[in-house]
Amino acid sequence: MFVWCFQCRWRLSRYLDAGLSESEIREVDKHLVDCGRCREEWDLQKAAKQALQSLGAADPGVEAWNRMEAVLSDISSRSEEAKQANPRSRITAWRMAGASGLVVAVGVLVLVLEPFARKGPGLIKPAYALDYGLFLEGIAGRSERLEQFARDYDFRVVDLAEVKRRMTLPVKAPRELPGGLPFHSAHLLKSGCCMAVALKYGSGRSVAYVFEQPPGHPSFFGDRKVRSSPPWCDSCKVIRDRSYQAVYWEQLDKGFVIVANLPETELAPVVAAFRAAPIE
Amino acid sequence: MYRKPVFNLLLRMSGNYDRALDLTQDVFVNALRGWRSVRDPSRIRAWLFRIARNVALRNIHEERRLPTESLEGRDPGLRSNGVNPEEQILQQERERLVEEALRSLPPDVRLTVLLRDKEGLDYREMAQVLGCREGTVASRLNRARLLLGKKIARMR
Repeated sequence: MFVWCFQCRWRLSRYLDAGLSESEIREVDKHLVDCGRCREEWDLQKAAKQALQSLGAADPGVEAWNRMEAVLSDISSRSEEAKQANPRSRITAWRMAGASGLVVAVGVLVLVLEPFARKGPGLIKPAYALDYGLFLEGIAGRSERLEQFARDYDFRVVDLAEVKRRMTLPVKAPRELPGGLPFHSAHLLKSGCCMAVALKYGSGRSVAYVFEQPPGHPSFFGDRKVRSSPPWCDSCKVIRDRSYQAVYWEQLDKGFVIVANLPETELAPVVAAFRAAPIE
Repeated sequence: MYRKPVFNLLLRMSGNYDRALDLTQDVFVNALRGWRSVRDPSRIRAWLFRIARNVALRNIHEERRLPTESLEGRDPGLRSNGVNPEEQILQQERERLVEEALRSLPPDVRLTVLLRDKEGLDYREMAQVLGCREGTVASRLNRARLLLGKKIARMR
């Protein structure tokens, strides 16, 4: 039967190790006579095998083996002693493993179910507008932490009706952080259920304050705590669609305005109003 | 019974005599601890070489991460008894070439040829040691021998 080169080469190692049937051996034999390239490969493989077989074997000597045996017997006797001292150790180990498994399973279950547990009214729904001068407008859903933030940095928190009524409010933002650190711009950062204001200062450095989170948020930390980046939580991806209904972002001449978490119907007039009378 | 083959495999995988001794000890300590898991006595050799393979590859990984050198620089001591001094020198030179070619192979390729052509494991045992099927062993062995053969031919 005719054998292709790839079939022959695939069989070479078995051919060398006498692992082929008689008919296969005949086929390979015939192919090797006819094909120079396969024969060359066969010669190389045979030479490699012979070279390896010709290598000597090292023996570290009796002394080295004795040392090793002493170590092994020491380990063996110690483990025997431990077993005799505590015959129930295996059972205890199994129990421990079982208990750990149970704890992990409960943990996984909690993590999986947790996002579903806080849908709907459990979330505080923030809605803010932020302009170039760090002028913050609370459009709806004000919270204590937001008000504290506004007090600290001299922002005004107003309700949606007020925003709609007065689209141009005086900018009273302090240009420095507590402690006298000047900053030159501010950003409202949002990711899912987390919101933060980043105050940029210096060149390329920034601090971020998280000022609104759902209750019991995993990345919650106290007021005034500074981080180099907002600690977005892992669950945001899950909650995002439920917690924010719409986000509007517009670049203005002197900065930008962000309005978050308004129903589409409410967002449209606010956006239109901002466009009609931008904050100066 | 198996300590010498295991030591020789680890010596050729690590290229360091003292390191190979330590690794051999590690293999037998691990074997001692996992002894109860062996159910089929006919598979002891493959099981031991499987441990040796894991130890050797872990060692290579660690060496790459934190390269170390033997302080003693001892000769590996891979010697055959030649008939006369001239023959012995030629044999040593041949062995040196083969050892060098072996060292230049990737670790898994080196392991494959050593297990078959030096330690004499059959394909079934090799499949257990390498964690693959016998067909895969055959094709790996094909490639490994070919690579080694080419390297040896180039060195000569």
